[in-house]
Formats: sequence, C-alpha cells, structure tokens
Amino acid sequence: MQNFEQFDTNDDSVVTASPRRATDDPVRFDGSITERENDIEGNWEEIVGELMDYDLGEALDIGDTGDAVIDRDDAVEALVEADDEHIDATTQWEATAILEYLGHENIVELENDTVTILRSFDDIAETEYTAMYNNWAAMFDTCIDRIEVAEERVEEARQRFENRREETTSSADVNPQQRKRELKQEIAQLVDGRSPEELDDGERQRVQNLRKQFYFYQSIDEIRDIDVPNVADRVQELAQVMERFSVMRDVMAERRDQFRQLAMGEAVYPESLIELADQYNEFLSSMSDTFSPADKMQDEDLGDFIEDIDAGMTDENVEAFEESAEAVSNEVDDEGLNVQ
Amino acid sequence: MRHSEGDTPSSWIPDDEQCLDGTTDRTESVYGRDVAGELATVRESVERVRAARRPTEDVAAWEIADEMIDATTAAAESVAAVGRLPRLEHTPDRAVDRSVRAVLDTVYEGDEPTATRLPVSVDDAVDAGRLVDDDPLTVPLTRERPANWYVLLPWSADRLRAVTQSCERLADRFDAVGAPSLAATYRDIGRASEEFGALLEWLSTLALWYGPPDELVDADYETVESFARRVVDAVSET
Repeated sequence: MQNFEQFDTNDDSVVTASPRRATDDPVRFDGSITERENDIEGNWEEIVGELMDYDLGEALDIGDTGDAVIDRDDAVEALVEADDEHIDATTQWEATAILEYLGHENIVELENDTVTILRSFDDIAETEYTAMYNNWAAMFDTCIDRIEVAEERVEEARQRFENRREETTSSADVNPQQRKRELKQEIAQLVDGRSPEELDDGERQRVQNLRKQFYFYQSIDEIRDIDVPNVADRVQELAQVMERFSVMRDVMAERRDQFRQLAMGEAVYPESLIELADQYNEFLSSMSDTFSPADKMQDEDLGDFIEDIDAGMTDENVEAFEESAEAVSNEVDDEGLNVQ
Repeated sequence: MRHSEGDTPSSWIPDDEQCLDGTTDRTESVYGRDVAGELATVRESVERVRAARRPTEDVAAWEIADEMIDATTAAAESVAAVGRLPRLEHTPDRAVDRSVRAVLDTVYEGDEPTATRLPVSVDDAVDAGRLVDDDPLTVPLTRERPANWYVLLPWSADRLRAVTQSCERLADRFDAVGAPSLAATYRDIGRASEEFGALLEWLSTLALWYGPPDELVDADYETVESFARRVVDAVSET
C-alpha cells in the first residue's frame, strides 16, 4: 500500500489504504483496530490472536529468544479465514491492506516474506514496537482460549468415560465363576453318588456335556482377565489434565494482565507476588510430566521469574521494582517458599 | 474326547486349575482363523442337527453337542491366550477391515480364503500387514497389528448370537419330541454362546473406548499443552 489515511465518520474511525498502482482497488476498513479498549486492551489483540492461532499455532515460529514469526502468506490467509467481527477482510487483497496497516502502526513488523508478531521481551522496551506487549497478552489469551476449548473436550471425554464405567459395570453380568458353581452342582445332583456304570446313556452324556461346559466357562473366565486399560484410571487421568489446564489458565491470565500493564508503561507491582510465585511453581510442577524436557522451566527460581518481569520495566521504574522484588524475595525465603 | 471315561464320581467334578484336555498349558493364538475355524465347526454342527428330520434319531445329537462345546471352548481359549488386548494406535482403515472380515467369513463358510476367491481386494490389507498372503490368506493377531482384534471380536460376537438363536430353536424341537436332557443341553450351549458373545463385545467395546476417537482427545490436549509450553518457554527466555 502507498499510504493510509484515517478519518472519522459518524464517530467511527475508518482507514483508507491507497494502493501503489492505480489499477488496484483502495481498501477501507475499521480504523479502531489499532486503538485501545479501556486504555488497556489493544483492539488488535484479537487480530494478532488469529495469526497466532492459525493452523493450530503450527504456522507460528517461536524462536528461542522469544521472537515469533509467521510467513506473510500464512498471515494473509489467517486474516481471510478469521471469524472475527473486527476483521472484515474477505479477500487476500483486503487482508494484505490490514496487515500492512498493522505494520505501519508498529503493531507487527513486516519484512519481505515474514511478519514478526512478537519480539523478545527485552527488545520491546528499546524499540518503537511497544504495542507488542499487547501481542504478548494476545498470545496468552490465545493459549487460554485453546485451553478452554480443550478443557471442554476433555471434560466431555471424562464424562463419557464416567458413564461408560457405570454402563460396563452394570452390563458385565456374565459371571463364569457362578456358572461354574452351578454346573458342578448340577453334575453332583445328576450323579447323586452313583458310579458311572449306574447312569443311563442320557445321564452319562448329559454329565459329560456339563463337564465340557464347565471347562468352557473356565476359558471365558480367563477372557474376563484379559488386560484392558482401566476406565477408572482414564477418568482420573483426564481429571488431572483438567487440573493442569486450570492452573495453566490462571497463570497465563496473570501473565497476560501483567503484559497489558507493561504496554501502558506502568510498573508491575503484583500485589500478590508470593501467591503468583507459588502458582508459578505449581504450574511448573504440574507441567513437568507433560512438558519434556522441562529443564529450563524447572531450573528457573524466583529470581529468574522476577527478572522476567524486570526485563520489561521502563528505566524510571526499575529501581523501585528491584526494591520491591527484593523485599518480596526475602519474604518468600522467610516463609520457606523459595522456588527452586 | 478330552477326558477319560470311567472316572470315579468324585473325579467327574471338574478341576478349576485344569484345561479340558487335563493340561494347564495355554497355546497362544496367532491367527484369526483359529477362532473363525472353530466357530465354523459350531455352525456346521448346528446345520447338521437342523437338517435332521428326527433330531434324536437321524443324527448323533449328543455327540454334536459335545463337538459344539469343544469348538466354542477352543475359540474361547484362543481369545483368552491374548492376555492383553493391544490398544489401537490409529483409526483403522475401513476398507482393510472389510477385507479382514471377508477372510473370516470365508473361513466361517468352510472355504479356503485365497485372494482370488474373495469378493473384495486384499492388496491394501496385505500391504498394511493386516493380512498375510500365505495362500490361503491369514489374519495375524499381533501387537503390531492390533486392529485385527477389533474386527475379530465383534465379528465373532455376531456369529455367536446366531448360534444362540439356532440352539434355542433346536432345544424347542428336542422338547417337542420328548428329549428334555438334549433340550437342556442345547439351551445351555445357546446360553454359553450368548455369554461368550456378550463377553467379546464387552471386551472390544471397552478396549475400543481407549482407541480412536478418544485418542483424539489426548492428541488434542497434548497439542494445546505443547503450544502452551512453547509460549511459556518463550516467556522464560525473554
């Protein structure tokens, strides 16, 4: 696009993107996408979330340093496919215009074939891409959304298993042990203390067949012993997944809110940093089984955790924050909550 | 005859620890035809009794009843030998399932299952290792190919249900001609077939519950957790 012109009409902000070539059509779209809702949440967060969630997150390349990049073509396709009221792009051309506008407004960083959605947390403060703090918040929101969807599915599966357990318990009325006892009893009654010679042909044949039936039930008794995964274990396993999701969701929501505060240039003074650290520790513990290897996370102590937040501070707040963090850290140590 | 005649009455009472042949060994089943072949014997036995004009005179009804319970027991032992039912890793290919069923059907009808004789193509099933073309075709029941179990068990349950119905009708005939012992025996065999079938269905349904589509739930939450992990890692690194 050549340029973007923003104007208001009936209190609505509209942007017109003018193409470089006169033969191409200009594109109009909602200009409020780069504004903030309640001064905290960026309206573009949902759009950025669509980019992050495209192809179930597989299209997003999250680097070791925290940069997150998506191919430009994928980004355009994500916006075209997006089912979001803020995004009215129905063609690739319209989506390209919106994407370039986000780049123009330093919400994302456009290069030739790639779109950088997230920059390393350290870098953001030193660049003009401070809106990317909100992109980080959007990242957590995307995670939370996906966790919630997965939670529903897991809960449905857990319910199905629970029901299944009841059904199988009540319907497994084949009782080989009891049948074997009945057959023994019937044989004993038929024989009634007589020798085989004293039985008539019909009785002898009946006894013989009952014996065969006995061994048949012995075989199907062994079928009952065939090892199948335990439904109760499965129910418990899914319940544990739900617990993990719940912790993840809470921690991510906390992080999201912190990032939004950072975007506003505010200092982060979590009122319940001890609680947060505790949750974080619980989060790491609960994730360790699923996240493998989790060395990086497990090795991170409270100091590192605070440094994460510290790295995003504006200069004037660093000193005050460090004092606060030190005080909190001492308090944590005193209470034996030091996170290892 | 798997047990000796002329036992003392007390030894006629069966022993929980022994098989019908007096041993305690179990031979592991490796082929679906072990089960299908035994069920075919049961089917043929039923047919022989049903074809008789006078079931108490034209056929050896007691002998056939013994054959039926022997064959059913052999089928049960083949299933029991699995010990642990292998879990499905992927949703099975329906066309391949059909090919496996076609082999079982052919064995059940008493024919040799060769690739040229079957009404369906078996190429994909052979390529997938679900059938082995040893001329005749065989259905391997291995841990590496768990899907064959999930064809065999419900397939067997269907055949056993049919045996139950036939045995109940035969029992009515025996009652009608004044042979209550035979009637009771055929009712017992019908009941045994019904309970065997119910158990196989219970087993396959229970085991299937752990396979697809619920495996997808695992894949789903593992994907989400993996995504969350990437995010958390990224935050940790910054």
